[in-house]
Amino acid sequence: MSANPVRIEEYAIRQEPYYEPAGNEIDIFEAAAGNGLPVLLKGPTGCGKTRFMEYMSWRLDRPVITVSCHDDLSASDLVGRYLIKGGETVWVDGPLTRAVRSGAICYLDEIVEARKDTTVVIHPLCDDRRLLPIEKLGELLEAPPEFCLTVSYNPGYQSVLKDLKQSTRQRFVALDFSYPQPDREVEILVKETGVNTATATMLVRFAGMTRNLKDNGLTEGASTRLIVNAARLIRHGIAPRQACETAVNQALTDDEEILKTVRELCASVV
Amino acid sequence: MPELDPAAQRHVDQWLQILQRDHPDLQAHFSGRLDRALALLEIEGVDAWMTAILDRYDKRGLGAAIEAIANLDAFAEDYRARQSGVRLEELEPFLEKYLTGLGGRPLRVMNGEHVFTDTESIYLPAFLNVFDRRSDNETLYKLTAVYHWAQNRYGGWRLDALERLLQLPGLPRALPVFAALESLRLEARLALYFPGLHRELRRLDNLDEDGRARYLAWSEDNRLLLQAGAGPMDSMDRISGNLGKPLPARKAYHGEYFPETVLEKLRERVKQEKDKLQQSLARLGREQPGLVIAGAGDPDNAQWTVSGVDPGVGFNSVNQGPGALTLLFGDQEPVADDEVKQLLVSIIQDLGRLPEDYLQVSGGYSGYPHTDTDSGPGEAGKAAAGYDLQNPVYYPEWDYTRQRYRNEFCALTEVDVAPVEDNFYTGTLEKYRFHLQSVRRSFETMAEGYEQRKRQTFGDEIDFDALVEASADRRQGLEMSENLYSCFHRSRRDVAVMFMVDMSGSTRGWVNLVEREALVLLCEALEMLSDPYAIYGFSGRTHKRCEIYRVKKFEEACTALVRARISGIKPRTYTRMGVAIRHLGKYLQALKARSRLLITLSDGKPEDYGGYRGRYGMEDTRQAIAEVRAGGVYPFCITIDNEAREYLPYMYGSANYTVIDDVRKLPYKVSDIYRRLTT
Repeated sequence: MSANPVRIEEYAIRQEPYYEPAGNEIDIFEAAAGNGLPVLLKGPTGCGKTRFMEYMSWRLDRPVITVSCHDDLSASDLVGRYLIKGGETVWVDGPLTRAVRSGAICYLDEIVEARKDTTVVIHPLCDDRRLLPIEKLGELLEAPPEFCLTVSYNPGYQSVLKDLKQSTRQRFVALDFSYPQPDREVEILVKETGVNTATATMLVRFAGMTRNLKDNGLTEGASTRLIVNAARLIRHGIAPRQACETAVNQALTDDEEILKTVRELCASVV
Repeated sequence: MPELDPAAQRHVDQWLQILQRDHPDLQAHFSGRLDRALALLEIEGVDAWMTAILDRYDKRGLGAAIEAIANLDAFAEDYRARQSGVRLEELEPFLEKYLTGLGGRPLRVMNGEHVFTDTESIYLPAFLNVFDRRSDNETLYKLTAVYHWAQNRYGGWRLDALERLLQLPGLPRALPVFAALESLRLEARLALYFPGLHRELRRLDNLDEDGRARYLAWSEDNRLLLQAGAGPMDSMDRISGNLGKPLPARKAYHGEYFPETVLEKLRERVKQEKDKLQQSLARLGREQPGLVIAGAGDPDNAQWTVSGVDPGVGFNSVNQGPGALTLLFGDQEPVADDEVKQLLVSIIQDLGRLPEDYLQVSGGYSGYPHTDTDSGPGEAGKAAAGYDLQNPVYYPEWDYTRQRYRNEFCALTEVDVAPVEDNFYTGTLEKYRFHLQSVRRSFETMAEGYEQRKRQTFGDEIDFDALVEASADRRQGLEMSENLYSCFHRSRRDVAVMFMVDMSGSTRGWVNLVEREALVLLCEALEMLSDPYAIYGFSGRTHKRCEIYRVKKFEEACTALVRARISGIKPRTYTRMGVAIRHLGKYLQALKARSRLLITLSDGKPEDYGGYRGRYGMEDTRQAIAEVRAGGVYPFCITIDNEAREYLPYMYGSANYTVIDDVRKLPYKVSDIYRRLTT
């Protein structure tokens, strides 16, 4: 007996999400998905990886189940567990199992954050076996051709504990994402938020300046997501400098000295 | 005396009483100048003046104190200057970061006699006190730096323009005209891209009405320079037409031009950067296996292209940074390499374009910096024969020319660092006491991690998953598990770290001092975490005498002896890194920790007598790193060598190193790097 609270159809993306391709990542993803190959999306935070997944889900007409990985996420959280319902134990599929059963896309966001035991269930799904062992049910699920596993990972993390092992990474087709080229980023801001080109250009220029400070006081520069947030605030009537302060500067750092530099850079263009 | 508010009056009465107590004459002279003092200075200023008088009286007697009272005007002038003035050293770190943020070639900010840029540094006065308000003087520093940054960024010092400028007849007359024309062009460019900065430039130009009118007239006469596409050649073309006209006044942030100094720097850099770029492209070609597999042919001869360069502006007009550039190999995906892009930015700044031959990498480039001793261990190594070593351990060394190991090639001995009993350790703790407080706070939060353990026999809460499973088992007639609780445990970090400290001769002086200081702070931080850690130094001379210096073993506590050994770390001879990595990696591999880190503190490339230089040393080090990595050790390098971005990615991998741009910052940064690495 099983009980799944959310119907798989509800994970479907029905409206085309806005996505500006950077290169031939759409073709590569389609080829990988068509050949049953898992995909690894590499890139800094907020550069469009999740949006790309939503777009591909819409394009391939397959639901996407997204799991935001965290350090307490275990294999059981992905595969499923028993719950008590009306005095009976009921098995509930985890997101990965549901994606496998229904031939959906399973997107494990920031995979390195998850517990190491998750690799036990990911590995057999990522090679030519395409199997998901469900130990508690004594079941071995074979993934249908439509199932596609995608994981994302930020290689900029300099942490021993957050490194993706070779045995895991060498199972994936890797797509490298970085921040969009400036002209394209301006276009994204205009289309995504409705700000005018001048405001978008100013925000992209500011973001570019903060990216120049990467490893020079900042761990990461302002992502496209951050300046999209700033643009939305501006569109809503917040003064540009205030919008940048709350949506970008304060999100980037707590270090007063660096914050001063970021503020001054902001003031130079805003 | 002017009418004073009650609080100020109480202050005045107090001063007079104090002076009366010390000497009635002092009080009398002070009272005589008090009105003027209150007119010149605020209450705080008069307070400072009185302190100075008393100090004079205490040290040099009544006469000197009375003289100080008489010199009130000079004191007031100096006091106001100190209140509103700004010292460069206060702003230097901010200015360098700010300019880095603006983009382009990184520029250093330095104190100089003249205000100018030589295209690698911007020289500014040590002290600025042009405006009454301190904040305005701070802004003036920033604007002066930005103006000179713009000279670099917008082609003011392009090689072709500079050579033409220096060939002009009557250069002393032409140069100020060129500077005035360039100021129109550069400020128009700043106005276009940095409206916020431009507002400040206008506010603080320190021009009177006449000066502004003259600038306006010059702008009208030279409108073409105000257009976005204008370059330094356009300014040059207008010199003859403007010779003899009265020059506009210099603005507060304008500096001077020293074209000969710039040309010298520029010619040297242009040559170096072409070599560096081609070496880096050859290396990138080799490091992109996907590109080679895709049939792009020999990576050394493949076609590189760069997009995002706007011939008019030099760069994409939206973004001023290397992010605007796209580096492509054949028709493949863009290659992301920030160091190469930064190099391209610098080249485009110097030449105004990227010459085609810069991207044509010939097969001769190996992708590694060449040295005259690239041929592997040679006669020099043999010259060091006959060393008497006590119980050395032998290690292999990778010889890339043979593509195989030289077995039992390196003789390594391990000795204790001779302890030095002085107050270096406690002195360092005192020197960095404020920084240490924040390090301790941040390390405390790392140490106090908790994790939830499930399926325990007893605990704080019921483990619902376990209970559900147990219920299912019971219904199926199976035995119920007893492990039905969850509890919080202090999480075990399970990280072990080995610090491998460069003790080569090149660390003599500052580097050795900051290395030792960094180790002191690390010890203090690591003691809080209980992460097992060890510290070893390495040096040596030829493969026959490789030395490892014990400072602290894993099993050793941070005792007074260990502290004295840190103090005793001295520069020795050379840097044969491969053997040291193999030896220390072996210690780490023997430990039972989940994460094992080998952190090298270094100041340069591997280098030793007997051919261990250039490519040979780098290949062996890279091989040794691959060996220890295969053994479950995570190697990381912290270096102070600014050239390290050229070679460390090849040896350690692109995310496994950090370059500290200023050696003095090492003690401040190293604990932070460790924290980042292990959380």
